[in-house]
Amino acid sequence: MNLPKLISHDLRCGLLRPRCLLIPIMAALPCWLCHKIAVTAGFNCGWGGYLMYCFMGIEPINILDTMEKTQLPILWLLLISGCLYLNLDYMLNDLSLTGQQIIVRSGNRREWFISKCIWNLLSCGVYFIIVSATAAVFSLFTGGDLSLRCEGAALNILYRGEVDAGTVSSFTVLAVSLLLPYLTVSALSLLQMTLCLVLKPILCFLLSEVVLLVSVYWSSPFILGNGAMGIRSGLLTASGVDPLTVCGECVAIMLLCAGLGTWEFKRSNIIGAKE
Amino acid sequence: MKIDIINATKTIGKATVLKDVALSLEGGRIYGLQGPNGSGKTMLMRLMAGLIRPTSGEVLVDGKRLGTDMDFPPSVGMLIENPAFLPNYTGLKNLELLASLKNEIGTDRIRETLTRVGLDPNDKRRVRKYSLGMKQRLGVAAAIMESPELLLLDEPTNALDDKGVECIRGILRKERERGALIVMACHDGELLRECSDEILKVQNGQVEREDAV
Repeated sequence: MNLPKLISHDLRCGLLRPRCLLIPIMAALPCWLCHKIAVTAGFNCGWGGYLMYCFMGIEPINILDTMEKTQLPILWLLLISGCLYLNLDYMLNDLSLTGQQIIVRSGNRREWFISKCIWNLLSCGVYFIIVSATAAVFSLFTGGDLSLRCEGAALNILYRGEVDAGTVSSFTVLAVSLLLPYLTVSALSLLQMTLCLVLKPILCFLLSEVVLLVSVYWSSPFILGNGAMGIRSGLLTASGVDPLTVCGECVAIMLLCAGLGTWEFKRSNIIGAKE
Repeated sequence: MKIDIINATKTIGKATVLKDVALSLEGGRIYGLQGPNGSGKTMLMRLMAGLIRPTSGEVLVDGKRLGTDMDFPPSVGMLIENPAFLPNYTGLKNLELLASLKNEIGTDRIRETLTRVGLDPNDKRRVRKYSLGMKQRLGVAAAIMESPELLLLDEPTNALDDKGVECIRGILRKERERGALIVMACHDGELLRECSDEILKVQNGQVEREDAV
């Protein structure tokens, strides 16, 4: 059983890479905008408020309504896609470098792929930890408190009155702005990695982006992306997407990817990413 | 160790990289692969290492089928194309990390192997500071350190000076005496003929046997 050693290799090589330095920059953009809104409205945004704004997303759009202006939640897309992009090529790069020596020594393709799945989950976790830390630092520097709790009035301004929640508890903020986006991104990232076994990485990334774009224009818990938008969460608004359905869907996709990926990888050619 | 390749054909995309290869290779011998670039030498090695699966035919390692009975040969050391290591670790640390997967050898053996290939085990430089030749030597060390029964060496003398080539000669001799099955591809025809017990000519994915001088 080499799984722990394989995971240890992935943590050593794939978790904290230089490109992770981009994460605080990506997270700082929505935080800065959130701060501007708070200053204009005359309130102090705390850690919870910044996080809620980062993963706000966009209110449901009726694509049949031609009067409605086409909108895109650029910052939300940037934050979600950032994680997908950072995780995109590690598996194939590793396979063309030291990974070949590792996999042959491990003697087991299945364990190697499972290790990559676990790495994927951990890597997404690190991404969200860095985003949260960036929001916390923003909160500290702008005089906000380090509590995840978000005042109803502040949320009402940040979410443009789209949600009917009062003051939001720390647990709800944690679920809406960290847990659900984390699960959604992890499922998409794992799907992307599994597809990389049969398609070029750039195509897999574009497919992930298509899923995210579809989710912007189609509010349904069954389309990955909706669960990562706070403004559409069933925890904040009665007509929102059910968080339990989102959790179940994400876990099901992850298990399916791990199963299908292992099966496909057992018969894949290992000839390096550049060939 | 015995490797039997039974009518193996490998197609990648539209290209047939190996055509109906039938070979039987035994331990204690060195097989030299000779052929032009792109003839299929590296693919043949990948096939034996279990890195690629044949589109048709099969590869048996000691009678067990690669891909169904096992994913990879149980005891294999390889240097296929460019040696790749973790650039921020020393050569010794890199080999320790690789060896930890099988847990068959300790640090003393790794140090001994590094000395064998002409590297200083106490060298504190990280691999990213190594020259091409040093990386090549480290690649050879990674391949031989666990005394594998199957040794696959693709251009082991790349970037090596005369002293390095001589070192590889000595290693090949010792490994053969130990009983390892060695498959080597090398553009240095003289070295290949001198070291090999048998030459395998690879051309357009087809393999023909030719007795060495």
